[in-house]
Amino acid sequence: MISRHPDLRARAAGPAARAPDAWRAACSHVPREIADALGLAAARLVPPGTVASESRGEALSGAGACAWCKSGLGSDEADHPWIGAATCDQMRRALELAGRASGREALVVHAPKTRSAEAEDYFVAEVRWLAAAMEKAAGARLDPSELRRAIAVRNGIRARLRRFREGLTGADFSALVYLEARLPAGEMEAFLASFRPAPSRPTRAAGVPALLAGSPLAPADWPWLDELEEMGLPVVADATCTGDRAVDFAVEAPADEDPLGALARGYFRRPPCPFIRPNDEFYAYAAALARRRGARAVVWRSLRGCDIHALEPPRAERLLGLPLLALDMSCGDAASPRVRTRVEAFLEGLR
Amino acid sequence: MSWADPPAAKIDFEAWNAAFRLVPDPFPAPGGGTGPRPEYLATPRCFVELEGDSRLRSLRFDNSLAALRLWSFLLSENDRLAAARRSGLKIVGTLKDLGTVPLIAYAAPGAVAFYPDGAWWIPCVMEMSEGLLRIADAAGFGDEVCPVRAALAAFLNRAHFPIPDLLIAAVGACCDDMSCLMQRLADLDVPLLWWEIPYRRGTAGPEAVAFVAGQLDRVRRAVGDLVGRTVTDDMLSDVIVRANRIRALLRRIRDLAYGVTPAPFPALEAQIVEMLALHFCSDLEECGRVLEHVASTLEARAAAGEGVLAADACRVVWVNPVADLRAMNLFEDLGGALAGTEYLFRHALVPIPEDRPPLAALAETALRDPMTGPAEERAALVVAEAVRYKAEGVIVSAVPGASHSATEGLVIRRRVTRDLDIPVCEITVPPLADASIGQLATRFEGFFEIIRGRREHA
Repeated sequence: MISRHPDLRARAAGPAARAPDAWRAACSHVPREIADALGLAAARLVPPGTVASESRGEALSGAGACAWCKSGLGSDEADHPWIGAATCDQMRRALELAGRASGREALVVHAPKTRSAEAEDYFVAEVRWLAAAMEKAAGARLDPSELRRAIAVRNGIRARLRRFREGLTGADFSALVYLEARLPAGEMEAFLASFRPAPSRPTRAAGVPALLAGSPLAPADWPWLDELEEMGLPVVADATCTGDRAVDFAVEAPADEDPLGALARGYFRRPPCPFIRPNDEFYAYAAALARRRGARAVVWRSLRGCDIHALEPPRAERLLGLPLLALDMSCGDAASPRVRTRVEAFLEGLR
Repeated sequence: MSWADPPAAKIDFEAWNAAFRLVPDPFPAPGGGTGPRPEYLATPRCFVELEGDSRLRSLRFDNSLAALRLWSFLLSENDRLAAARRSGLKIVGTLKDLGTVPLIAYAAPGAVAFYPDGAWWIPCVMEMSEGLLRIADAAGFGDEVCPVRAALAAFLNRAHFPIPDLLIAAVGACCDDMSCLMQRLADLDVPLLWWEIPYRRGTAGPEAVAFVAGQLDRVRRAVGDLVGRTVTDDMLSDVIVRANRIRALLRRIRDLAYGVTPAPFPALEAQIVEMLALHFCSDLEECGRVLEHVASTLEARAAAGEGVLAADACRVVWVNPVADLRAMNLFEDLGGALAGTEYLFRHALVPIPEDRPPLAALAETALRDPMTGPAEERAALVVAEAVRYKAEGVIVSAVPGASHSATEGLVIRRRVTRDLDIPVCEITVPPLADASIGQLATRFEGFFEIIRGRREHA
């Protein structure tokens, strides 16, 4: 029997700050430490991943848009102003549409796709622009010492999340990451101070330990992760941007370095998304994570309409060197018999 | 022997082949005199039988000598590339940037450039006989991906163009389809250089220009290494001047093709003309001569009041290139006329600044790529085009599976409706539209009825 943390999940899936001046950060590429330092609320807008939200978002975008972007646009929180990064083509267009829908233009920075020193410098310049725009919105100046403190606090939170990872199921860890993305730093610290997770699963998971990769996860997907686990495919490593990859980094901000520049460089150097080109660095990270956690299979889940993830499985299978199950899913597919049958067939093939 | 084009008209495949027998030798030069007959000039039947371009049989063509030359120039590109390789030239395959990197390649002595992306027309032109989309499917690029997936297949079966000596791939603010396709090409045994063009929130600022100029400098060095010669600023400045001549010709042709009534040039040929802006069909100098021929033909027609379409055709801005060329014929057959276009490479049509360092000039121009900026800005280009050429409607031809097409139509529709109050029709044209012709025809007819109805009530 897999133990879970219903309290954690309930808290994570609850509403984030609804104050009129609260922002929503649409992507993990956005350094929320800037908002923390300015005293702005900027919860990450992780789409709910429900059929209803996808349908509402489709009316605001188009049938061909990816399910993630549609669900975000159709979220109850979409009326807040958005901060985001031009990561993939669909995301940056969703950011533009969100601005149209809310009447408040989204703040969009370019997320470089290449990994050169020049690209890193360009990202630093983009983050400086974002900070200036957020200063304007807050009517306050970004205090370097406040920013340095915010960086240290988020580093500490991420470090604690990493320590909790081994004892949590894939779904519970996803909920914890989700909570971190939603709460202001102070509230998250307070939550962690009292969070005493009972081990959710044995250290060596039963079944075939799996690495999850592909599209990010929404709260509506947590029951699906539970189901994977119950079927014998426990998610011991999560290379999506809502899993291990979201917290597997620390921003180094030495005292003699401008903290804003250091923050931008820290985010640039974090384990990257598969949208980078070439994306070998993502696979190096995912392969190392899989090895470290003893994963023996890969579940690659792509949300419908997302080329960046949907077109990768042939490469992923080769580069990760593990049996791979590629699932093409939409919001609401988590509970579908089609998906369950595919998982069962995959597991049979592994026995 | 003097030459006079027949009265402007659209003719079918057979008539076009018959007309070829009348092509004089020596060849009449635009503006008078004669010159050698272009080596690539061939009957349309030749391309069908030797190259398998069977779609030509179903198309209708402009009947001018300039159009025949234009088609032959387009369809003979693979021969030109093969000849370039035989003569020792290096072949640079440029991906996605649409109009910038080829200039660096042409500046280098001993290099020629082309866009493998252009393979997206092969399934149409060869009417699927080549099996490229099947190969792409098998490689994991199914019909949820834009027809550009044919380019991946063409690399895999190596049957459609010479494999380049170097691939130069533009990423950053580009469509997801091409980004993924380029990542797959990076796995092949072809040297590939990535460069980045960032998303811009509005007009590109100095930081973006400096960054892109730096990226293009990397491209310049890579091309220089390939040909074994340094590509200097002077070489780049020279090629910019030559490219600007082509771009000026294109603006002249666009003004005639889209601004004159009755339309002196069909939509299909006008689309091909615009496409030549991208990489000059692998021969910059001959491209200029072909376009000069087209421009002088259109000027003569305009002066004589000759057109290929009815004077009361419905004037429409067309957004996005179509993968099936026959759609452009159908559009005109049912009463449409182009009054402007936005084919996603406006930056390849605008003049490149000649008064600043060449890499900065190229960077500024590359950053005008509509793909790199907000969709709202592209919608404004469509509106400007409609105003310039007095369009009565806009057709947004969504590229099936393309990431930008998923949401762009909505933005363009709203902007056009708000600013101009003219109707917008959104269609999707697959690579081979035969099965959709009835549906497309009904959409066009309905759209033109709306336009004509508005005329009556104006």
